[in-house]
Amino acid sequence: MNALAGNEAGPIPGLGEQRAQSGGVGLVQRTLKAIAARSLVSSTSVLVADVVAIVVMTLAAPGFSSFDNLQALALSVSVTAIVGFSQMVVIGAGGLNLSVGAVGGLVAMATGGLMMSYGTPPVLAIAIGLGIGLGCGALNGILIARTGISPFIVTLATSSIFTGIDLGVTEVHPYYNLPADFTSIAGASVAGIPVLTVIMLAIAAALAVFFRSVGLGRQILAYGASPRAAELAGVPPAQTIIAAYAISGLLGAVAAVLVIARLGSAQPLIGSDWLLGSFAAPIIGGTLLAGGSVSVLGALGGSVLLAVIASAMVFASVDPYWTTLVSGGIILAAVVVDRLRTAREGAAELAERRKR
Amino acid sequence: MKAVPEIDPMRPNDGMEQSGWQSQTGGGSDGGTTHVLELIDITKTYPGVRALDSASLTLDAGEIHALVGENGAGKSTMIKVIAGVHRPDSGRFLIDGQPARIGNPRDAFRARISVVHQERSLVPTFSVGENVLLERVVSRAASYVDRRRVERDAVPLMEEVGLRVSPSRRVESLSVAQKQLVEIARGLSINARIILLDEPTASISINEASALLETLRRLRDQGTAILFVSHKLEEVFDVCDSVTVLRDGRNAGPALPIASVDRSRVVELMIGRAERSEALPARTPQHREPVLEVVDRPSSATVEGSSFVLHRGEILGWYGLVGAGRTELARSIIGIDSIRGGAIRVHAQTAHVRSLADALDRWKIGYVTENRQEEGLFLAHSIQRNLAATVWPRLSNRVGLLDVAKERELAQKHRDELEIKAPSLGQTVGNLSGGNRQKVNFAKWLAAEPEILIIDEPTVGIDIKTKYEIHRLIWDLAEQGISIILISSDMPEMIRLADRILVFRLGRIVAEVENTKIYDAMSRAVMAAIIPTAPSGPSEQAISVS
Repeated sequence: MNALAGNEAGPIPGLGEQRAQSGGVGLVQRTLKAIAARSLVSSTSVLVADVVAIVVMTLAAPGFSSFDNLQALALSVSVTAIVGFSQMVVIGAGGLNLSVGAVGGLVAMATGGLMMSYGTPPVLAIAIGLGIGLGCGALNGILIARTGISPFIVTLATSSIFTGIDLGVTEVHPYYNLPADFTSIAGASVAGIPVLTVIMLAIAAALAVFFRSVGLGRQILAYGASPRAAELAGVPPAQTIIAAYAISGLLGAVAAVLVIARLGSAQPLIGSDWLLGSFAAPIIGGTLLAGGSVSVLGALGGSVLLAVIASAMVFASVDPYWTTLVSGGIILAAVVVDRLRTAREGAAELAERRKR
Repeated sequence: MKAVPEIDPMRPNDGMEQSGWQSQTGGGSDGGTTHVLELIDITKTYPGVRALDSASLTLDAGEIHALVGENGAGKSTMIKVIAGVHRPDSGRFLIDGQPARIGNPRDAFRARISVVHQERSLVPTFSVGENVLLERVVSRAASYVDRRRVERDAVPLMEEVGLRVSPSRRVESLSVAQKQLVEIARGLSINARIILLDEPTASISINEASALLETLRRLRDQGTAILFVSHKLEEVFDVCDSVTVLRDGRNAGPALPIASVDRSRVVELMIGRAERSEALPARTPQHREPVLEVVDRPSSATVEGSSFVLHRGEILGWYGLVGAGRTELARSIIGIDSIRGGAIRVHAQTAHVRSLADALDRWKIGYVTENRQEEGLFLAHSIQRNLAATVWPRLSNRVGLLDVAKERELAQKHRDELEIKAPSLGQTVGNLSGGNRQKVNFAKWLAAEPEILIIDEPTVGIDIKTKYEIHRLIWDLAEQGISIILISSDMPEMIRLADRILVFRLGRIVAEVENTKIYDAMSRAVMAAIIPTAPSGPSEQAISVS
């Protein structure tokens, strides 16, 4: 009964004991069973997959574990993870956000444009950029909560609106050579870990606490799992939906700011390729697509898996366009594994009951 | 704490014999007694339905007050008005004699009114402990939630209702009965002054129910005002102090001390005439032609059944405590859950039932689910749509399009046969009362003309009159030669209907009992099989918790 650990997985506690008890052929099977049993804490499996993928790559491609490659990997994970979190928050609330990339693009151009065309100090430009993301998200939430129209339709429409504003205002001119004091945050690192990654980890930690122990986080998940039950328990529906989408917009904006800092330029098409990954990372990590349950660690693990696989394909000289296909395949596999896991729970339960 | 309340002296007449009695309360709070809760002349209209029509209700501290009535009489609506889920169109709402404004569930929570709703109102992805204390977890956005502490605090409440699972387990992994216990524990959780329970014992076992009633008595003695809605009049007479009867959204009479009425009087008030407790005619089942044989321990994930045989025209009862594996075995027979090992034979022919559609079309096995709300019905669809869902292929014309005229004809036939009460066949099933929903659920399967019908808890949460109608229906079906497996946790129902009873315990069939229809002997025999070490005395003795 380790479910107390809730949505977050620790390492795999049962493993050591299992190994001590048995040896030989049964070991693998037992280990797998132990993992399956712990997989109620659903982020475990993706973390195991991460470790396997990294070990395989280290052995197969000598260049993979080089410092430079790992740092590049960490940078790319940082952005995909935050984009994944942005989607995860609204999935947790029982919705979805198709406008995550459009918000990203708009914020990227707004932030870049403020600095380049108006000479706005970076700190202020970032603040305004994040404010725009928050506002776009809140607008999504308000439309969904007040009209009752499905999130799919609302965010599909706003996605086009946000992109339209972005392209219309900027006339699709990119901003190159962003101020050095702004882009320098992307180059900096703390103890070898890029600052961008540190920011991502801080956000992950904050979100983990938010969903586990903050009233609003629990409200979002309760509403996502069962709007009716949540309302009966006193969750204000509109407020909760708006909050979830606003947070989603804010996280999309953070990702956009990090991207332009890293690239040193703001380009109108930033965000246009975010959508698939935004779903892939949390779902691979065990976030329930139906809502009500998220795993921050899992979404992070999912981002790592996606990045390692993309990197593997580079090493194997596979056309990068095929990574999209692989991401799709991984999502499907993750969903199937999730189904199997649920089926197994029933059996384990009866066995436990009999023992008593 | 005062004793059973007297009939309000303000009321000009308390003559329940008068047929046209209507609430004429002016303002009940004067006259010396202040009621904890008072609803006066509440009217609530839904599109096309007047659910409550000047209905009144009074609750006092330290009493368990029964609210009874047939399906559609307005009981659940009354509960929802008090709980802040629905706002009444008109009427007065007093708490402690003061006008109260309960506009949403949070207001009710603040007024220390807690509710055990009839429909599931749990968050499936949260832990048991969090669900028990859900209001505490989610009532404020800016608050810190210490989950371990919440789960620890939930344990005493769980013990109170006899829920023996880890507080950190996810609710979605619980059985129906365990979920119900979570709901009840939650109702007890806010240190409520007023507790409303809507059919709390509908899906739990005898032991759990009697533990619950014990808890309610204790809370009453501590001064809590409790409103108890149940179709089980035995429970009402067992635990309640007074009773309000609703009929067609109105009070069928003034509130009465329970001691002053008997069962037949209450039933008369409920249905507006004397109860016809017609006994079902005797049946002579012919155990000659085996229709369904399940051989050699077919097992699904949660069941290890022994072999059994179902004969033509037989009603085979499956009794057991909730969670004994009956539903699971049924689901594996009809191909929803997979089977490992063993064999199923239908008409002596080995059947590999691959899916529900396969079970129905090829092997003529139908399954009336216990989970009407989630599995049995399309609540948002019309009666007609629901009825025809099992036979769409048959109702299609040559190019595969649905013949709506045929669908309508079929629906009409079954509506008339089962006396489904609705203004039209286009009525959304979600707007029907529980009893009528169950009739639609039945009719849906009958439309498919099955030879074997597995019926799971057919009368849970259904009023007496409809219950008898459904009993009669099951009896008729068996007489027509349909073989029936009846899964029920309602002992009187089981003994009334079944020819033979298989007793389940922890996923196994542990006994087979020929039903003599003599209640005392039968219930003792069945309970002895369920609780092997039961003392020879009253075997249903509640396991004491607390």
